[in-house]
Amino acid sequence: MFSKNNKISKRQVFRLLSYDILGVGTLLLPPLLGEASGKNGMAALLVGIFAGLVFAVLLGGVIESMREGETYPAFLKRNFGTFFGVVFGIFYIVYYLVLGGVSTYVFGHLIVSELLKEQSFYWITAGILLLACYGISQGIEGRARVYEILFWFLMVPLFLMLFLAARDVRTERLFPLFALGEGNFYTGCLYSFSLFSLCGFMLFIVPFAKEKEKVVSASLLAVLFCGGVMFVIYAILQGIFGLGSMISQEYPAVTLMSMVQIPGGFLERQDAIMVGIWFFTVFALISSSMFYLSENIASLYGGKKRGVSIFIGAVLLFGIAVGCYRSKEFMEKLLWIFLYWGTPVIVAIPLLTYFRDFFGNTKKTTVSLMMVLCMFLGGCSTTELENRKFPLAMGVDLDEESCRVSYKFQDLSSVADENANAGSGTDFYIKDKDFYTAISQYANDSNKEMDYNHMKVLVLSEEFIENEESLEVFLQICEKRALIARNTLLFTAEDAGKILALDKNLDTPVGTYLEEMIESREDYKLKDTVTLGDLINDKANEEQLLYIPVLKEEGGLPVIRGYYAMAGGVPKGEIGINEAMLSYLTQGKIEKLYFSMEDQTPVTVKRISAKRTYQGKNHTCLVKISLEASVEEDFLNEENANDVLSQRIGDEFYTQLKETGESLKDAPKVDFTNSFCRLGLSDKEAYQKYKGDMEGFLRGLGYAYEVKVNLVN
Amino acid sequence: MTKSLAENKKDLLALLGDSADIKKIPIQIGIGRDIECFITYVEITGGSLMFSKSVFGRLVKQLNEMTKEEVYESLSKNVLGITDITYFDTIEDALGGMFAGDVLILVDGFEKAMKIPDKGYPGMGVQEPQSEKVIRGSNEGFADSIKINTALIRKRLRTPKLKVREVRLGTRSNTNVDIVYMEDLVYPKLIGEVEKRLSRYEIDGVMDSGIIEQLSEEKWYSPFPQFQTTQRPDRAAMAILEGRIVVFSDNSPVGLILPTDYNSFIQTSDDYYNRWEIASFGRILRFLASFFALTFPGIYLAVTNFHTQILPTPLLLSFAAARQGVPFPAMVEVLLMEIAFELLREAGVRLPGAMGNTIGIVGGLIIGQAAVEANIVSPIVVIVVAFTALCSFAIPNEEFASAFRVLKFGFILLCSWLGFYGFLFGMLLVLIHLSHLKSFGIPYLMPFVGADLTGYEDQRDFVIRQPLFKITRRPVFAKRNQRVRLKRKG
Repeated sequence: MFSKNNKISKRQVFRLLSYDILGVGTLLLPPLLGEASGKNGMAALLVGIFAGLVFAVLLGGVIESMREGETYPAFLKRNFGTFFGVVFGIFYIVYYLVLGGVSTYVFGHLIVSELLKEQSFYWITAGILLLACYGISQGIEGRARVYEILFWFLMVPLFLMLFLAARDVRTERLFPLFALGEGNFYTGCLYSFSLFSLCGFMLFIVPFAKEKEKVVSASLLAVLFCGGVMFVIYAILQGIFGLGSMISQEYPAVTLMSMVQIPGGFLERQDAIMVGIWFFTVFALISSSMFYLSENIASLYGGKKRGVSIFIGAVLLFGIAVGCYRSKEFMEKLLWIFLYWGTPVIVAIPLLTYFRDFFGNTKKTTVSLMMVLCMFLGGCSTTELENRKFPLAMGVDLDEESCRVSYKFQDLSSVADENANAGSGTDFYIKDKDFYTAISQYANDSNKEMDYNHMKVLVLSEEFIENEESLEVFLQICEKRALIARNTLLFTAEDAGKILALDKNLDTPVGTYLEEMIESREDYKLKDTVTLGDLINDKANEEQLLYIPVLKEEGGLPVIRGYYAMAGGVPKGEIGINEAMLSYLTQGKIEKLYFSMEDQTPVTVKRISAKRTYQGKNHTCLVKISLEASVEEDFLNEENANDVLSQRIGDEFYTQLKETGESLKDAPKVDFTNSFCRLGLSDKEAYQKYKGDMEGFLRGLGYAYEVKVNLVN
Repeated sequence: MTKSLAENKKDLLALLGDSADIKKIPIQIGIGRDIECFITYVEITGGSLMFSKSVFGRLVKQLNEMTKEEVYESLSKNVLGITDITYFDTIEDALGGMFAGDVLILVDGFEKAMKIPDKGYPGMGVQEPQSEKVIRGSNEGFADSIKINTALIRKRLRTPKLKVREVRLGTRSNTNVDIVYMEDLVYPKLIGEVEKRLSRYEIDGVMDSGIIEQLSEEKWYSPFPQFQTTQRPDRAAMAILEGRIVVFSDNSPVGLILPTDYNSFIQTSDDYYNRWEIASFGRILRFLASFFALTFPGIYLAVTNFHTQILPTPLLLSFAAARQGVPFPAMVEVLLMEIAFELLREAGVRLPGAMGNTIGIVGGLIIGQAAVEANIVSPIVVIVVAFTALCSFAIPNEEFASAFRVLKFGFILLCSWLGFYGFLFGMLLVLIHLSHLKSFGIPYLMPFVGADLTGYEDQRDFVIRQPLFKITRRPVFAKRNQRVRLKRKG
């Protein structure tokens, strides 16, 4: 009565196109764009969005000249004659083959790399293509309904995660917004436009749209919506990872989801759940490509037996996806074809018509096949919970040229027994020539599978950090194999194994103990605690100053007694707590600070705001600090009147900052204001000059301070 | 038929044969007892001829006081004013009438057979429905008799626009099937489609509306029901007011409502009797329940076997500690418990009421606890299975809930093989299937999809049930120009 008309509404057109653009776009575009255009990526993205909008408007003209109910292939044949109509049809077939094939590869690869690490790529892609066949077997209506219903179910969690992630964005990483000589701007524009040119799908949607004239407005809306989302995602990715780290990752958007913490959240990490967004959106692009591909194939032989054309399309897409999986070169070649050949042709064909005009049961088989395939699905090698080991802390030491990895496991029997000592976990260490061999060896020797997903703390020995080769290998393994979560807290110690062995003195496992210790700190902001992800990012970006807490043993307990400075991914050496806190102070990362003045007057400092400005003219960093200080009533007297005390506190800070800044500049040679990473934001010229030269920047750098104290007693 | 009683009787007896339960009584009527009659009825359905309160008894008594001419005249013109007399021209039709539970009279010299209702077949009266319980609202439920059921609808919708069309199905059962609808609200095409589908098969017997349902649905392979069933007259009446059709089959206390959609299955009668906040809260719970009834055991397996990073560490360690010593893999453990639960449910349904309750206690408490203590299953799996069961019971419609219960096993297998990917794959498969599914042309996922068909009006009565005064229009089922159902006076 209602639903057999094979027509879809404006809302459904909008959602269909949005899915097609967003899925692969959010996965692939950010690293590609960053690599091509550097910090101009955001500008290139904006150009691409604008070009997409213009393209959509131009296609509106083509749509106007299409007859009621006329399909796009039929329109091409009517306008250009049968021969050229067929030739154009073949162009479209190739285009959709490339697009669908690459999307299928991306889908399979995403699942294999993020969800099911040991599953067969072939079965996954074959299964999903069969599902797509089933999805499109009953025309466009069913497909449109699926995406219509899913839209907000997927978008709301995505927006929520982006909103939460936005808190961790370091705005200085986004600047300068447009820098001359940064990458190839035009290539970035092409990448970006190639994505938004997918709105050209609307030409094929026209005969199925309930109201033809609304297709264009739906497409414009889709480009605007996706453009907005893409822009936000790109900014967040660049702001959190930094350009270098973002480029080095395969799917940075997925990695981002593993790092976002939901406040008061029940879930530890939600990347596995959030992969669902790309599961559905990339599937949408696969099924769209397959649908339009089958439409084009069908148009070549008169449109009969559509099931056959769907089946042919699925087989071809499978072949291409497998080719991409087996050969990266093939995949890159296809991407090249898509970008430099497909996009221009896909733009040119409809515009040609525009200007010309201006101037003048297969389903049953599918289900059966699916069932047969399912029989062959071996499934993944599942590991039961009790057959896994959950290290809560890991220590890595260099020991006579070999690597010693120590683990601290939770004793499961103590979880069930409330009287047991929770800290009495089992520990183990293994030594081998490097980190990778050591953990692999342990994985082989162990009677259970190692599950690093719940590791709270990673303690690296100072010697290990200072050994460039070992650290490099370690970080590469962490990044490529995604073995350890990026938000694992990072510590350093003289002997990591010994720190982990303190577990026996604690009432909770050492991993949990250290995590709680950091969470209960009142001084610096929790989000500024250094994690493994920070170290990975900075190794790639080479622009940040990181302070890794140094653990020492005191009274049988692990305590933080210093910070290890890493500047631009290079180990610099240990500094004291006070120096680190002052450094954090200049960066506005301090929440609350307790300190004693020279006459031992205790002062509590809070509501601190700090602003760093680099003055290129005299190569100086001006640090303006304003804070609220309070002093115990007993210490207030005539000598310590409010205004006098404010002045004294200000002077004290000034002196300490000056001394610390200069001393850290000498050894361990770090800019304690961490201004280098903000150059793009504050001085574009200096950014171009010192790009990649942190040491050069430090040379001759001067500091100026303005401290404003508001005594609130 | 002819005017000759002998011939008619011969034909009738030839068809009837010698059935012991059929009474065949020759009598003579008229003031002179000069007119021969032949009365036949199924034992029990007719009262005593001499019983003055029986319709048939009173008829005979009156005819015995008339002359021959008066008898023929009163029979042909029904001057006696019997309200439910039916005349038949063929013996076959006449027998059909008799088997409907009435008394058949053949009169010599009168070329028609007459059917007069008397006691009728025995049957249960109006009772409280066994399912679809409500806290607020009518407690009447449909009965086995189709006439009682249509009367219960008529009792609620006292308008001449309420129409009942009767067809007979079953070459041997001759079951009455009534199609009830509101003449001005329903799409005429829909009635035609229903009649077409009802006549699609020639079947020997229709014992319940479930048989009609299965023979009339479009997608035979779908586990989701494409008809909504109800035992509640108020629910059926509300559906008719929405422009839908209710189909009753004789001998079945379950009415079929069509077309239907996912949203309708989640609604209950008292959604409209309670305040909107309460009703909306209930609906949100039921939507969530339908999701978890399908996926919860699968999600548990996917998370614990594949994606442990999702759970907070203390919870995960508790799970791991609870699993220690359990001899089965988690999937087998979940399957065992789910099958055990389904067995308990099945046993509880089949056993008499009081014993059914006992089964619940024995199964749930004693066997469950014993299984945990014997380390056959872990406590967490008992919680997972119990929560899933609660969710499936929260779905108001039994047939709809059954679809989730069956598909749940698919999800268990998929998730235990493929983890969260299996879950996503399964969800997508179910969604694609649901998006292809239609009930008499209405998308099953209305108004999740296609809400623009009604200008988004249907979304006022969706997950959130807006205040009644805002639900001014009928849903998509009603004729386009007859959608206003509420307007403020003055």
